[in-house]
Amino acid sequence: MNGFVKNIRRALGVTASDPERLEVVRKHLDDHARNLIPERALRSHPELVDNFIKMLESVEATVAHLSELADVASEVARYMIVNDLAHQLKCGADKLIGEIDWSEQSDLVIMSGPATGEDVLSLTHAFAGVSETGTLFVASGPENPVTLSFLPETNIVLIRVRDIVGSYEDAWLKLPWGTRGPQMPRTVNFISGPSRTADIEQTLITGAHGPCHLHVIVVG
Amino acid sequence: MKSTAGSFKENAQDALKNQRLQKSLKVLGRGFVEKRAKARAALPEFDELCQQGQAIKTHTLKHLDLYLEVYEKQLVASGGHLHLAHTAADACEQILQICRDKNARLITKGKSMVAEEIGLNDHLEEAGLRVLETDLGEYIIQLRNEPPSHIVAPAVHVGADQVEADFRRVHKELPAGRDLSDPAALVFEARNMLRSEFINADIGITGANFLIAQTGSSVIVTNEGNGDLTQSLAPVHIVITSIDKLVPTLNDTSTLVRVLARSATGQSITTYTTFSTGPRRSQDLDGPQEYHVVLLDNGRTEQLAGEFSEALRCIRCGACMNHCPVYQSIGGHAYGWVYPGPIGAVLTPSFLGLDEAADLPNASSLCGRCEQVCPMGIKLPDLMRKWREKHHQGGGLPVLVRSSLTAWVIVAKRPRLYQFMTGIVMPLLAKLAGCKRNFRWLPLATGWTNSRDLPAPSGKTFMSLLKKHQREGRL
Repeated sequence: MNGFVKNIRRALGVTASDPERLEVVRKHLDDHARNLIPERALRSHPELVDNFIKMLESVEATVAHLSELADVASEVARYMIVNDLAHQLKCGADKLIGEIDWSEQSDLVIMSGPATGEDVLSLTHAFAGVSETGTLFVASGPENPVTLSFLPETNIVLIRVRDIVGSYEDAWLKLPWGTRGPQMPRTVNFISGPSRTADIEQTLITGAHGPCHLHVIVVG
Repeated sequence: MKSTAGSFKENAQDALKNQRLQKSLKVLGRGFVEKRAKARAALPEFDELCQQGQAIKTHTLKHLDLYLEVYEKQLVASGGHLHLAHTAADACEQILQICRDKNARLITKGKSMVAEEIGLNDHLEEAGLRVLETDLGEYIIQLRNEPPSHIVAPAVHVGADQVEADFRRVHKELPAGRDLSDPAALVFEARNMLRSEFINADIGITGANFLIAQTGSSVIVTNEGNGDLTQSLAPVHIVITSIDKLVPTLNDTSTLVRVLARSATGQSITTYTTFSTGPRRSQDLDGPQEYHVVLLDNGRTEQLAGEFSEALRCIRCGACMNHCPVYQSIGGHAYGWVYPGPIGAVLTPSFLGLDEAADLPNASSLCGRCEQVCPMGIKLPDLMRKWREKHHQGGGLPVLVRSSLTAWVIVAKRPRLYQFMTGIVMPLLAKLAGCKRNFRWLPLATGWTNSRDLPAPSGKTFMSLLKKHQREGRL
């Protein structure tokens, strides 16, 4: 890095040891100050939840709002029947997903692990949802392997209503934090709708390389 | 990438005559421009967010050395490898070396303009590797052996029927009688063709929209999900990016994310925004085992010291080209290198020199729309004017243009002479034009009159009208 940074210092006409500059940078990183947050991200929680659902639906996602975790299994089964999907899904070792009671869905096959090319449906858990743009935050790890969010044709994402916040800035706080910032998993994926492309004559088509369908289940 | 910027005038002529291209460009002008306007109107804080974004970028560039040191520390702490590349050739060689170390054969690739800048695909292919572009637009132009014509929509110049013909030509294993008349069928076919390639790839290469010093992360902003499959399924993830992508914190990145997609495609956010930090963790079941970042300078440090440094704020949204009447008329290929449109007219001379690229900053009416829509407030017309001045000072102008300008300066500096001459010429031209008030042909002005009429002067000069009004006591 030395030669690289030396060139930059020469270009900027600065020295490495200028205490004022060091202080400015240290402070900027330590403060981790927020810039302007749009007003729509600062409303009451029920309004945030309403807008979260509205924004997701505006980008071709479907949303079900359930009051109890106990209803998730039947919602997943309903979704599979309506969309004519094989009764199997893949998920990771996520704690919340682990609490779902599947006992009434006797014909449902639940597999665990990362996605392969054969998996058609995945179930993942978003640790936060951002109201301002209808964006799910999913962290990679054994709980929710990253390929589950991208490889299967359909992705169902579970989110607790209390994890829906106004802004991206609020959502980052849901990760465990160290002194200077969050402890980042390998990937954090912002997901807002099923995959899409407009690369052919600017015609919007959903279902590019990632999931063709995104179904969001809000619980609570 | 090889440049054809030196033959800009010929390129532009060809583009204007290309009916297909003209049709595609009309769609572009309507689509992106209207969508951006709607997105801006839907977020009352948009302009203020842009100003804050500019401040973030300016602050970062001013302290770039220090933020890069923090970035490196965090990247290494998370298990990533940093490779520093002074030049395009360095970057290509470093990436090839990683590929060789891994005995790689198949490389999947997400969209990256820096990869275009360094001519990465050619370099890897010459070494016998198979490089597969996975972004649909990039996939299409790779099949056509063309460079991108837009930094956000690389295949914007290609019609659906051309894509169909290319797919039939290349996907020979598929049934000849299949129906590809619907663009959705084309998307579906590309999806199916690429799935096994993602899984079988030895290395996945992506670019980065942002690098975050605070966390050592790289960020990609996409819609298709190809970038995520590229970087999650291959055992090695290489990020090819440049030093101007650095941002201090996650919160700073959030501000820039709010303005990027709105400026680019008019989306409030793209479908995917992915923050990658290091390789897969020890308990992870998927993700790459290695994470390499190749960080390119390629003249940017030099730019930082000079009068074009504000162009380093650019976040590559493409708004300037979407709104540019010149780009809308000739498309991206005419600019002859990686970055087209107004930002290309400013960057290309920095990268390739004025000898090659002097026509680009001259191909502008300086109407100022680019500056108006630039979320990073880059004064693109001013920067283009600066290149023109340099071109003039460097003696780059043709003799005829130079001597005409010199003659004009002599006259313009002498108000009496100027008024005397215009006092003769204006009435004469008005008389010659007659009642049509337009010239269809005029000697020395055929460059104009070949394609449009030249409006004739009214006959009176401003000074003569002023004097008349003063005499009549109207002023």
